[in-house]
Amino acid sequence: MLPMEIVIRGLHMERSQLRLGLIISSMIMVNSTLLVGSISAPAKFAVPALAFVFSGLSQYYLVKQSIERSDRNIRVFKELGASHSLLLQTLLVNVVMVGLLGSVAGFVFGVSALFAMQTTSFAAGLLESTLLVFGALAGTTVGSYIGIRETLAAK
Amino acid sequence: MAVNYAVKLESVSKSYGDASPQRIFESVNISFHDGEFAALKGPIGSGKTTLLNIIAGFLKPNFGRVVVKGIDIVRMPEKELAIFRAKTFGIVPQTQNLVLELSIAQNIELPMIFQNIPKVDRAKRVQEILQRVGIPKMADRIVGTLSVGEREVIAIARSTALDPPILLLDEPTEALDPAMTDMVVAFIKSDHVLKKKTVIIATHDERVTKIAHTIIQVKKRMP
Repeated sequence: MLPMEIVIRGLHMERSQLRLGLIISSMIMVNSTLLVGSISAPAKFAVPALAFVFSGLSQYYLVKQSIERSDRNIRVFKELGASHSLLLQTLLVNVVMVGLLGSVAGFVFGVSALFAMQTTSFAAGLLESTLLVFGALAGTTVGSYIGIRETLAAK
Repeated sequence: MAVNYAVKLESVSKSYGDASPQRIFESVNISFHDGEFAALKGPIGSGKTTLLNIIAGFLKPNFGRVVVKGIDIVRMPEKELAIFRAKTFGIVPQTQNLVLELSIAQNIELPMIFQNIPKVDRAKRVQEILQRVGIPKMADRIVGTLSVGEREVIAIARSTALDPPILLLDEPTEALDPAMTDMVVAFIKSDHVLKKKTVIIATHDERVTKIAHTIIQVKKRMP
């Protein structure tokens, strides 16, 4: 794995871009959690799927936009012997870590709001929110993977 | 006594384009022995860079064999070639391949990271290289803030990071002022480079050709 400093600077994973990823993940999680709390039981299980789709799409575009700007440096990294899989793995881990942070932050915030509104029981709320986190994280991972792979393949 | 060849080009032909191909080389035979310092001299567009790219395996010839350290690299799979290239060549292309956002030390460290060299060894080797080029205190300077000449010196210094047996340098002094050129020439002339490595350099700088063992004239093909 490449050192974090090299990834952030060298591959243009700028902190502002990472923060945006974090905010988007959090917002998706908060809204999804609140949505889960306000709808009836059968529809609740569609919300993790929605979180999957939204997280996936937002990460896909964010990652593509970010990596495309580091076109020159990716070429340099490859010339210096970086393998395709090392770049893919490093970028993916870093992006998914950000998605994870955002999801957890949003999860905590959303669940707190849910309980404050007293719309669901503790056990049900916890189960539904856990499903949501997995949905959002799976979306983040899949979206990032496809975005990174597509962009690297084009270099 | 048998001569050990670092690089041998056998009947290499190269042309660009499919419909009306532009021939760059036809049936070229050149060999560079271990420890040789060869200068490729010729006008712009004569094919010096193409020749270096063929030797490094970035370009495939249309015909012929490119034998590096006894191995034909033309038919080598891309993944294997990337590893072989990193271990065998120190490459300084005409357009500097430094990461402008990283520091000097990080740039020198990069090829070592890709070869999984431990952090302690990387730090030690970075310091050695910085000492060798005479800038031990500039390790943390961001490369984007350096002059073109300083970047060239860093690029050449970095090409020795993995201690490769062959250096391929493409017009390293082209954009440099006399003081910087002296620095580059001194680095090439240093015992570490000249006595231990095969150096193939594309240049039309007299100060560089003067110290070369062999000068190869690359002529532009007339259409």
